Amino acid sequence: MKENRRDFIIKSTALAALSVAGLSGCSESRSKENEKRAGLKSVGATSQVEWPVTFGEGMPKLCVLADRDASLAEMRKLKQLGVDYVLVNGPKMPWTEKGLREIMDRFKPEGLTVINMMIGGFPNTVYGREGRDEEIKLLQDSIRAAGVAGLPVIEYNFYAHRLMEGYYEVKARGGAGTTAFDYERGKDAPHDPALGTPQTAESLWNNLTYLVKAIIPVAEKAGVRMAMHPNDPPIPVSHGHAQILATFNDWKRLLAIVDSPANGMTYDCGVVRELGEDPIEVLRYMGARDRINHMHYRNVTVEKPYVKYQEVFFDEGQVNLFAVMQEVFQQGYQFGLYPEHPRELDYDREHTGGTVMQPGGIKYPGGGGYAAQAYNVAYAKAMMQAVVSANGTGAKV
Amino acid sequence: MKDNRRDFIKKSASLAAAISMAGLNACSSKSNATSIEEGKEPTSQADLAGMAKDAGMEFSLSIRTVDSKRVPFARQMGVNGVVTSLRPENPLLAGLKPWEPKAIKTVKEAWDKTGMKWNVVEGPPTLGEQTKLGLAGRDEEIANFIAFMKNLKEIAGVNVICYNWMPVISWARTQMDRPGRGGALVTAFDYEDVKNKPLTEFGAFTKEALWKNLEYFLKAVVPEAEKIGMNLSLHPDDPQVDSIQGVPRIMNTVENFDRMLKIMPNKYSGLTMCQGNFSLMGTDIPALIRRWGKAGKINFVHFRNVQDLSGKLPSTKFTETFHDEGQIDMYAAMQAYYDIGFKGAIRPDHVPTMYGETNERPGYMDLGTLYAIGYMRALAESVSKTKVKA
Repeated sequence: MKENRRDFIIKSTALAALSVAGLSGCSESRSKENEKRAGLKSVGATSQVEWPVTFGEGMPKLCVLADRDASLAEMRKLKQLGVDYVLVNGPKMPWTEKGLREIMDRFKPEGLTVINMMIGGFPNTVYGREGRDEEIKLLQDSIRAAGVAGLPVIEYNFYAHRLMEGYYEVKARGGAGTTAFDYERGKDAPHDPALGTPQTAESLWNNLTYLVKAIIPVAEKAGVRMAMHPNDPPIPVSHGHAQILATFNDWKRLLAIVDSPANGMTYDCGVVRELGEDPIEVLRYMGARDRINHMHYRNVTVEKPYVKYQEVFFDEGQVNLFAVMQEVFQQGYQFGLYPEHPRELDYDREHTGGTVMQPGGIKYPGGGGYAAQAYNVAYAKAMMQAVVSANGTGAKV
Repeated sequence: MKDNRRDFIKKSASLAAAISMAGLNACSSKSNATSIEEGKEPTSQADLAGMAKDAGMEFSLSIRTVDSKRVPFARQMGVNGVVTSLRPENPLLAGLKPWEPKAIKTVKEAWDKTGMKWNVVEGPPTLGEQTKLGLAGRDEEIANFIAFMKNLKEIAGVNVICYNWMPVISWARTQMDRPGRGGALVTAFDYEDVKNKPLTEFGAFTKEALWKNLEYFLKAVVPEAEKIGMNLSLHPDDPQVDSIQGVPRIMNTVENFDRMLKIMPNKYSGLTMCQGNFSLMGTDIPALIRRWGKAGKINFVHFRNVQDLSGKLPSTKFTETFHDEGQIDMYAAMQAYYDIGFKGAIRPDHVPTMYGETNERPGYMDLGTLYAIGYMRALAESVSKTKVKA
């Protein structure tokens, strides 16, 4: 990928917009009907849903990350995983309606809908430097283009610096790789002079507020939802720069800047647990306000919140992923659900010449590739089918 | 869920009585349902950590030999059960009869070194055409089979043998590379493609002959299995059509399985719940799991999915599918295994061949297996964690 996720994170400070037939726009909250449909009905031990289970519009959309220039073979490779939706790293700003349509239309014949594009490339905005108004103009134009093109969600993030040095590999069952993080490994890392004066929390909040106030009204008007990815790792300082989206309170403060479903977040149950917070409580807080515009699904074992934890197999962490999935449906959530961060397996090591890149072309210590992703996506899909079956509320009903 | 497991157990007492078949001991289930009967539902994070992995079932893979790459592959998935047989081409068995103590000891020790648990023999040696067709030499085959059961249990501790009653033509498909989702390759069967094929060298014979031979086998073997403590687990015919090339099929309906179970009613004469075949017979899988599970007949599970293409059941044309996209209600099936207290070996059986893979062993390639295990594991968690907080 030209623009991988790490680049996205580094460059980032930005956002955009869109909306699609069948997906509710920013100005409308979920309908009562959806809430009823997603409600947990009491049922017997045998589900009453017609199989194979399909998912209705008012339900989460299982998705995986695709290269926006994916070849036909690569699209089919993803389609085999049983997904109907993809997210992609967006093109360089400014986005245009034509440019976005070209990307989205390429996936359609293979039965894949682009549900989310990530946007990045606004460092001056993050740092509050000269040139930020030009960047914000690009963001606004991109959001408008997304709205016209019918892209429902744009994901962005806000880091002055991201502490990758804290990640390291820990071998798990059978020699598989897991991704551990320890703040101690990078706590005292010096700041990079090339990145300018270290950002204080106060200055970052000023810069973020300036950004959010400038783009959310545009997104709202365009019918596009913005999803801010939380800071991950959720540590207080990276190379001297503060991180301001690394606690639940930070997230609440972000959501309060502009009171609109367009001003939403990526809910990541793994990050929530990294903070030591309750994934269900946070999900309910955001869901009740209709602010979950994208979602990452993964598991983690936390030794010390914010400081030391390990990203593990979905089936062995501290997050009850079934309970999370039940609550996601209960909330009537209807945007992307991305099973993220596969573990490093021998299969991927042997089929990639040794350096296993995660989907999107990132390398995390202990992070895996397509084979491990097959495991994760199947796991997430089974959880979705289980919830629909347990609820007795299949899309065909 | 309102209808929790404790309720289920209470209800099931009367249910079991209602469904028990003549001659079957409905209370003799080998499954251990103790923890259910205590009525303890996990409700906290601490309980979550202490919960049995995979809802207490033994997730397993079919692996031919200990030096297979599927061993580390399985361990990385957290799959610890091995379903295997003693195949003559296994170098460990050179010069040995597979039912001899030395052969079994050698294989058992080799598996122990890998850290995996050998829990099922699927496709036993010494059960061939002589026995299934009633030919000369069957008594010797059966004697060897009994020796195999005894040595397998005593030396290796393996207490499940999955066998079938498909002589001459065993597992059959008419297509090994049908394009499935995203171009993944799956196997398929269409009776039209085989109906005009000539008889085999064994000629034509009758279903009653097959029944007679099965009865002869069961009468000789089941009493010994009971003494040894070996769970005989008959696999349904695959495909479950009426006959192929003059070779009739008898283990191809649910009624016939019930008939088989009555030949030698015994807790050690049971079956393999291969979901694909039973579903293509036209039966409701979760209901069947509950009925036979209550009767203690399910010793081993092939957890797979299929899709009928003939438009009517029993099916004469079908395709295998990914686990999440076939006609079987997989969630209700997993819930049924959990509710009956099934604690035995369960394996994904056939899986599609996926991106970048050769189709050298259709149904058993790696990526589809990863997909299947991830899928099964989440279903197992979903049926066991319904009361646990996040």
